[in-house]
Amino acid sequence: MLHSTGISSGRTSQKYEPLLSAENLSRQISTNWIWKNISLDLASGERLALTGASGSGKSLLLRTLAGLDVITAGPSAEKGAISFAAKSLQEWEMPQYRSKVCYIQQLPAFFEETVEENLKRIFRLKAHQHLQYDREKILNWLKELALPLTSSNSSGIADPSRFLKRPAKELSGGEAQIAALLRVLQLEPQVLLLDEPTSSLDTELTKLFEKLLLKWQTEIPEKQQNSPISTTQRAWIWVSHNPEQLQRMCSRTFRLDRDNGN
Amino acid sequence: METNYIFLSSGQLLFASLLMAVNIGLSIVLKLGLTKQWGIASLRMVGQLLMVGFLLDWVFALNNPLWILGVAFFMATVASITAVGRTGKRFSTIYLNSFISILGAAFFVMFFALSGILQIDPWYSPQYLFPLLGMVLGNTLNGISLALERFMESLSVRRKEVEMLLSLGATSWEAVHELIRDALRTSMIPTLNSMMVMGIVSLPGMMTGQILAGVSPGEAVRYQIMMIFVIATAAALGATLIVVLAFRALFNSRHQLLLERLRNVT
Repeated sequence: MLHSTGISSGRTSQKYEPLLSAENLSRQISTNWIWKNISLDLASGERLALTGASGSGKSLLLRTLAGLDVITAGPSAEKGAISFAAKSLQEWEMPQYRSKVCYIQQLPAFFEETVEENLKRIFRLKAHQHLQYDREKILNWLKELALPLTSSNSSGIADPSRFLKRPAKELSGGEAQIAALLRVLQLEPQVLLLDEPTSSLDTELTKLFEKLLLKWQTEIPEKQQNSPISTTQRAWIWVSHNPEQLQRMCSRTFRLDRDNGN
Repeated sequence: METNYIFLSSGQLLFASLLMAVNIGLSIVLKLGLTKQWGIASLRMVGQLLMVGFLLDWVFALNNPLWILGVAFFMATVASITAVGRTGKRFSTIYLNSFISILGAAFFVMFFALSGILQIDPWYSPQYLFPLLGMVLGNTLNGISLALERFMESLSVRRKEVEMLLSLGATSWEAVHELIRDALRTSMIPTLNSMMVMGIVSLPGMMTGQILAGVSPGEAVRYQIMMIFVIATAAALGATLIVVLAFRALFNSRHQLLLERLRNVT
């Protein structure tokens, strides 16, 4: 795992086969280039910060990495490419890819049902049929977020099983971000693409949220026997406007408005 | 058929048009701002219907399958354009898709009705084909228009929900399944409602027409029953086809939502 702190270019040293790799990505909106010829690698187990001024296209880059947006040709018609686990995105079945490289929206969407039903619903997708909803696991995560809160308090997650029964549409912004995180973690992704994941959380919950994620990241995933990527460790790309948070949570920084175009 | 009904002269039609004075009067007195529209609509309605009358008289007289099919295709084309015309959003292949849906739905039910149920000989007999086709197209148009509008609207309103599912590994079909179901339900409910109260709240137009033309009510309702089945199926089929086609137009094979293909109509 790389621990070079501070700002470096988008490339890791080439000792490791990168887990997720983007080559020559460009994005245009009408006639403006948001970013041009970006190349970026994420090693197994790496925690990468993605920064840049507002409007520099951080979310767009995360969306592109998540395979939600079409990869468009660059200024001189060069074609960008993404690869994951040594396989190009073209070769991946998109649902399979997206269940390993998960994008978490800044303002998460939920269905009009309880939090728990929202969490369960995802297992109905074909891509997750080999997995099962695990209530205990969710409750444990919630406890890690709730128990240390001493000032038994404003927080709606203080009682985990009650939290699961609440209508998801009534969650506050911060609670929704927590529910969205758990919804993704239960799928055991390899890479998280986090778009300002704590923007609606207070300081105390933010710290607990970070702690939970750090613990999750260093865990050895449960079922890896038959997986072709069994030796990989969990990694993330984290977008935040908070430099201290990125300092805490990431080992390397990619600045979109500076490092792009090499 | 016996003709024990009253032939309407042009004078009588003019007399009927006096009723529009009520509508126009209401518009003026209550400042509804519809005065001009009532006028234009009346003129259009009269003009279009007289023209259709002439056209159909001519096609009936020719009794040539090619001409009959030509007119039928023309009617389907107009219906498909009208169905799109009521939507607030468009994508580039929307007219073609609407045409395919109308044609697919209409062809299936018309074939079923003309060759299967009625067993008309020849199959293109305009006396049966055109009234049936007119009703089929009118209803399919409504079904398509409702389903299309609802599907495109909810795709843009519920975009985050759809993309959330996609980003968690849903196929594009899994991600829009709810939206498609919702659009189809929306489009089918009017047909369902009208079937529920058929004959109680509403006396359908075709049946009334047949009765006016001297057919006994007991016989007229039989035609109406067949017709309701035919148009209900046509509307449901058309709506399903258009939603599936719109789904295919707005997603690619990489399970990516291409919402930029949707443009608002101003």
